[in-house]
Amino acid sequence: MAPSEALLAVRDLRVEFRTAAGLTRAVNGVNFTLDRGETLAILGESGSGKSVSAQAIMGIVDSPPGRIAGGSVRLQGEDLLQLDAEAMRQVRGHRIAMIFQDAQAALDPAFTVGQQISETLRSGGALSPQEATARAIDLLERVKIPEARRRVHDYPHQFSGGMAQRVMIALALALEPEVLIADEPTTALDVTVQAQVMQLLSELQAESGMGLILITHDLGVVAEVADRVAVMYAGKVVETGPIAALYARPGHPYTVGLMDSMPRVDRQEGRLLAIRGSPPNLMRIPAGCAFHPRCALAQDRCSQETPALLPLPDEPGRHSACHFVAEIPGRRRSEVSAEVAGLGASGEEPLLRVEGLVKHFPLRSRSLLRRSPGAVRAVDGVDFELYRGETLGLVGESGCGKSTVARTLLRLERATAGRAWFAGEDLFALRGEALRKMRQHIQMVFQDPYSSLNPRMTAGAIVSEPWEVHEGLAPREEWRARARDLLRRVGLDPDDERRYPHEFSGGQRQRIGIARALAFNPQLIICDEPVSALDVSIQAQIVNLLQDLQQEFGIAVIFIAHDLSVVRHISDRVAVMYMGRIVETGTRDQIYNQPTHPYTQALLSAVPVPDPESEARQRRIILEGEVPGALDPPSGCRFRTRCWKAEPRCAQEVPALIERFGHGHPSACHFAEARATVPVEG
Amino acid sequence: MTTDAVTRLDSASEAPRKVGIGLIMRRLLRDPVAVFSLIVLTLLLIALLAAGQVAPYDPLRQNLRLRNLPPGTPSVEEGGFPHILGTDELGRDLLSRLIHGARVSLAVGLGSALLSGTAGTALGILAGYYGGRLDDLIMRLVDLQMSFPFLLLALLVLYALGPGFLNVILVLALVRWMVYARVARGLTLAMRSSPFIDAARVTGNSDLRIIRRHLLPNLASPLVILFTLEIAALILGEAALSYLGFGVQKPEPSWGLMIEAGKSYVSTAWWLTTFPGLAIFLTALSLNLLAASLRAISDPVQRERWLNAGLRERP
Repeated sequence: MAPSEALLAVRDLRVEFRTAAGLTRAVNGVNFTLDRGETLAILGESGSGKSVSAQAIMGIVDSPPGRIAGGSVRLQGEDLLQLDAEAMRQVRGHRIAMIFQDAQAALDPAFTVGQQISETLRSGGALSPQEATARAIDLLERVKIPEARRRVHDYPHQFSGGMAQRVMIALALALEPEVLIADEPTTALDVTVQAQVMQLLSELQAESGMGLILITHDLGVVAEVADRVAVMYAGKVVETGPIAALYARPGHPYTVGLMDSMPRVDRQEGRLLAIRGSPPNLMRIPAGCAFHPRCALAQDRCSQETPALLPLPDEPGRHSACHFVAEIPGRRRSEVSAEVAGLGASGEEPLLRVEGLVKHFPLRSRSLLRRSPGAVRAVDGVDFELYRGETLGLVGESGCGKSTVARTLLRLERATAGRAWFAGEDLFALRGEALRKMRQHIQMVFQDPYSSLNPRMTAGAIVSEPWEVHEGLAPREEWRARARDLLRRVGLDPDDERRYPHEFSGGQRQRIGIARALAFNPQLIICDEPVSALDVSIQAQIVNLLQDLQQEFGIAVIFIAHDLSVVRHISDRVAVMYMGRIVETGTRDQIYNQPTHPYTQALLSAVPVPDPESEARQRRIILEGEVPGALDPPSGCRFRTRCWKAEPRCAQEVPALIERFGHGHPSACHFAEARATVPVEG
Repeated sequence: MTTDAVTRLDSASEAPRKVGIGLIMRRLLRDPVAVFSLIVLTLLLIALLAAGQVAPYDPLRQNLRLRNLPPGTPSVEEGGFPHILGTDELGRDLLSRLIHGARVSLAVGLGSALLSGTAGTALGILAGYYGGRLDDLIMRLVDLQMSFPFLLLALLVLYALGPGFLNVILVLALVRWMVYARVARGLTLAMRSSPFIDAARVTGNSDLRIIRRHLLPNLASPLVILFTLEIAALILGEAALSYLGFGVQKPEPSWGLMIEAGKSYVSTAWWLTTFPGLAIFLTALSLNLLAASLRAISDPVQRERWLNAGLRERP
């Protein structure tokens, strides 16, 4: 083996799927190499072929309908695609291992994790059961699972998402593979846990010197850990290069678009710059450059001639597949700092006031005689105000109660305690007809655009349903014209009114959901993670749309999100929740520039920043552990179990949410101090 | 207007196709399995509506000289229609009895399927949608009845009510409602927590409207399939009851009764049991086969795929 040879070299890889509807070309000539000790990130949106490429390397493409149509995958010179099934089995796990997005599902629920790791170990060589168990404990310790000796006997369901992913990593590393493929390893995890897992992966890689292929759609994650990036679009690599140079001077219009679409926690911009349109259907990939229908630089040549992946002049190690590389602007668009809309005019009545909101879900005991065994404290005393035309970002990790706040305000759940006034009316006291009337003023946009539309109704029927349900809002003759107008306003074709939800893409469906909410002309729209199920380039379109509509109609918005970067672009004020309580609120600038609560600081610094040279990484706070169960929350300050500032006082005394730093910036920490965790530009 | 700045989405798919009854029929007629079941069911429908006009003989007219004639025997009358399926032990024309019997069997099957389907679906949706004590009550009743043999219950009730056409429909509905209740409850439970039902509530729909407009249409395809399968099961149920003497009474022809009457002649006149049995089998088979096509037609997501798969030119 020549020393210059790459560890793994993929040449012109092609994978197709034959389905009833036609031939899907999922991977269309992919080229990349991976060296020892290197981390290569494969970046792309859903349907770009990044996961299928990984499956092809592992030899686990479902066949039929899948078929490897050409190319080669050389591991130290040996073409894996030529191996027979038995030889390939010897490669999988032993020389190339893989971890998946949903670790919980990838583990066998019927065996303890120790048994699963031991089994893998023993398949690699003769080991006694005792030796295998001892090695399994070693491995679990290596991936930093606390109390590994005890936990080796636990079953997968006893591990949290982050811990299960660590077990998966231990399992993958058991036979010391030369290459590890991580397919969206942190997508299903909360942002603070995601930071832990990524750090672990890069430590392990540095230790073992294996090659790591990281498949992700998250530009932030890539910037954090990768050495090199391959950007994929429609089954092809459109750009590769070392991370720093590629991020500083993207060499393909698609990469430029992706970077601009990405909401950033360290920047404050009025609007996100979206890529128009949506990724192509792989059954009908556009001729020439597949990106040309969405490209601002596209010319006639782009639709006729497929650009090859060529080295960039003057830039060592970089390749781009664009005819007009030279014309790609060196810098991204100029950063325009947004005007921060003021708080509601002083003295004005808030549109919505929430006081002491509590929602407990009692656990149902199966026995009639025993008392209820307790309650999940989803929301445990939340107060906030919202003014007309204002946007409040409500941020917290999964399970913090942010969605439950939304559901109680929408009267989808009954509040356990607390009160809320909407435009002076007691929201929780409304019954019957009065409640139905109120619904015209408070609307919702849902997280999942796939299941929030009735599959049996056309887009037109969905949008005009509000008028059908509430008599007197609009005369029946006008429904159709108004529905068409609404569809046009949210960026859809009015003729789409006859289509059913399944005929739309995710982003388009979310537009229908927004049109439905707008049909009432509401005063308040609650958006529950409206973009978290969408691709990055589509996310930006939807965030911009919401922002435009809000400004046009003067609607107040509660924007719920699990990380702070999306919220930055749209919020006037931000409230951060942890375990059912708000720990800090303030204007956007206060929260992002001077976060005072340790949790806010950690949350801000955990968000991956898509800039490899960002100094934020050096000052990163990585929280330990995960969110405790809401069944039995810690006494005193609930964050104390993960907080680096915790002192005995924190366990005894609940910190009140009071103003500790200036006007309108209350924080619930005994030791609150302002600290900038993320450098702020613009 | 600011929203005009929103980039227009490219429409990758073609303009929506108008899916009318014509297109669906064209697709159905290309499917030999569907054509077969449609033919069988059309013949049955004719028998149901115009038994008197299509049957060559009076199904009750006896002629002991013509007992147990084998299939294909020419008529004794001048220019009479041959007894293509033979005659029974009392000399009655078997084809005519089969046609008239179809009327009884189908009426019982359809009638009791409709009755049990309506009641079972309604109770199942109530149980699934409202939950709590109502759910417990309805579902315990279902469990109770599920664990009780179906024929035994039917016989007990028929014994109390007395046999007869309408009572058979009632009894069969009574013993089969819980099949729908179970399916409807399960589907409702799964759908109740889905975001589009939340969305309907946020829009201000009343419970009744949510059930009618949002739940029912989404339950329709599985329930319609269940309905067609149940018709087949109920025709068999009617045959069983009549066979045991608790169903339709002699001399009224029903497929079950005809098998019962023919069983003493199995060795000498095989056609007495074979043809009614074949009729039951073909009816049940066609209904089951048609159920698969119905599922595809009634669901907008599957409909498209189904239409595309069928209407594409064969290579």
